[in-house]
Amino acid sequence: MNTQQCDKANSIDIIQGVLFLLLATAIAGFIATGRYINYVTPRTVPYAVIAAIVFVAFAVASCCGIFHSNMKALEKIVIVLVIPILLLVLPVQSSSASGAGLNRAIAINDAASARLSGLNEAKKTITISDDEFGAWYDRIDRNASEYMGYTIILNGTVSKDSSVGRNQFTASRMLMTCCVLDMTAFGFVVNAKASTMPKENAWVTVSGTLSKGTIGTSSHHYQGLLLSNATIITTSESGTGYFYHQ
Amino acid sequence: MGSTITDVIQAGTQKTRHGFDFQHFLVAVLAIAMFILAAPLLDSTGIPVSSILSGAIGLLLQAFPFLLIGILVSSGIETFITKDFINQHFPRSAAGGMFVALFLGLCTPVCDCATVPVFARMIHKGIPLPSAVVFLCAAPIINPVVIWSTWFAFPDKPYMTLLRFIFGIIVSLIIGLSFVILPHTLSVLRPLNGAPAVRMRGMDMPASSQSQERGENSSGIGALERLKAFMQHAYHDMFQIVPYMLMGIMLASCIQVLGGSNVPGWLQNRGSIIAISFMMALAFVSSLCSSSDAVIARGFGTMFPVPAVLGFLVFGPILDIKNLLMLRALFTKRFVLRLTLTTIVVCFTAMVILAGIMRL
Repeated sequence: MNTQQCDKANSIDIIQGVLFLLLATAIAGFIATGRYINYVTPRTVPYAVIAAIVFVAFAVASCCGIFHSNMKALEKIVIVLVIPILLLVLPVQSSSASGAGLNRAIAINDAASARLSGLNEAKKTITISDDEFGAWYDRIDRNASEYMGYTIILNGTVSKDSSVGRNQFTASRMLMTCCVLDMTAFGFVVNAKASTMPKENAWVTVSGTLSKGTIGTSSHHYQGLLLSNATIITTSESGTGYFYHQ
Repeated sequence: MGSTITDVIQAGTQKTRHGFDFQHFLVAVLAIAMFILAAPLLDSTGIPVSSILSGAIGLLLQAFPFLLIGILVSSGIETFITKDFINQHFPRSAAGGMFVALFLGLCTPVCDCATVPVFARMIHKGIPLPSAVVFLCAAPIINPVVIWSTWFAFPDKPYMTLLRFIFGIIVSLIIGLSFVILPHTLSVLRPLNGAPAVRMRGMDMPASSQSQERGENSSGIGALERLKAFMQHAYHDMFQIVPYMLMGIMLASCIQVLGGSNVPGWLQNRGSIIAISFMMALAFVSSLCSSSDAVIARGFGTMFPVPAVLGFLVFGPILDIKNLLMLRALFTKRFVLRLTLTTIVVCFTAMVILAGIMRL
């Protein structure tokens, strides 16, 4: 019994090899076209490249007949290879994701944070541009005492959850940590008056003074950073993209 | 017994015992494709199929590479490390073994998806069960990537990183110790009947015995044969685990999309016990990657006390829907049940004790 004979690929091996190659190509295409941005952060790219390379190796091994698969393997091939290929190749896009403009990823990193624009120390104001929202949020969150009393001007979406009080909202942007399922809103809590409270999900420009205060309801509250004495203007424009930590 | 033209023809026409042949294969492919393409239509019925599929793609892209890394490491252990080596070098005492497992966990910068196949291979290679269990539990919590990501997520609360590290070690050692005090006498590895039949050196054999043979023979074979054995192990592990991983991914995506991630207001201020239970349950159903769950946990920091957030950070990497199904792919139901219950009890008790110490 020689090894050469034993390693001759059968039809299942060939089908399997082609599917492995298709999966590698689907992953490569997903990255090359930038479609991955809708689902995972750019931090995933190196790992996805490794996965594609491993699948190419599997494709070669399968076509060389190393696995000697038989008909029993067909069912599992559908699950292990066909489902991932179809998910990556066919158009799948939730309406909420496309509506939220999540086709652009904006990195928050220390290097970018070092040269942020919009700071006017003389007037004690920080005008946050849409793409620097994440970096500024991080810097202010970590060095709150340095910016206490500053007037902060920013754009964001109005989001309300059970952690904020009745006349409070979060001027937020979206943060993806790893994949689309963990997308969460983050931002500055704003103290508003009942008369100036904007509608949820509206895009607003907020100008408020950074201070420390009570966030939450009478039954559940904590001391945190918020923007007080805020001027709130509802606008029709909206920033695109989500933030991620590099 | 090589593969001849007749074999190839027979392979193409033969049916499995379930009758799954090429026609069924094509029908299955078409049906899945049609389901994915019809997702926007199904959305209009009120079921957010597109969102569920999008979530599944995100989890798939996140989990698959790490699973492959785990599978390759696992195959490397099977192919290049012999049982004799383990016998000679791995500590014989339970305490020594568990501390070596902790050290291995500290040096393995991978998330929970990668540790399951490595854990299985450690047991197959003869590493004592308590030590392997300590590795399984500790590696996704105390490795450098997770420590860094936790530090990053809680810059103003460095004690969270320290507590996660310390409780990761304590919980892992207690779970491992439970297997020393009450040894698991029955086999833990699942018989591999469902694995695709593959041949080694021209011989058809059940995957389980084949695995044994590959493991035992791997020390005396050449580089090419060794590489082939390495690929076969990796292939075998992948086909064994991925169906369960996909099932876990779909379940986690369904639960997150349908259930949402916002904490119901009535759950807040209900005391530590309820908060810890809720956060552990959330960690289980979320199936988040352990290298990035800290950022999510931070969002709950203002709503729940420290022990509850820590419960999320310690319990989730050890056990979630995805891990549980992957464990089930490789281990017996009895062992998985015991590990699950032990992990729940130990994590919950540890967090309740912490809450007591903090007087919450």
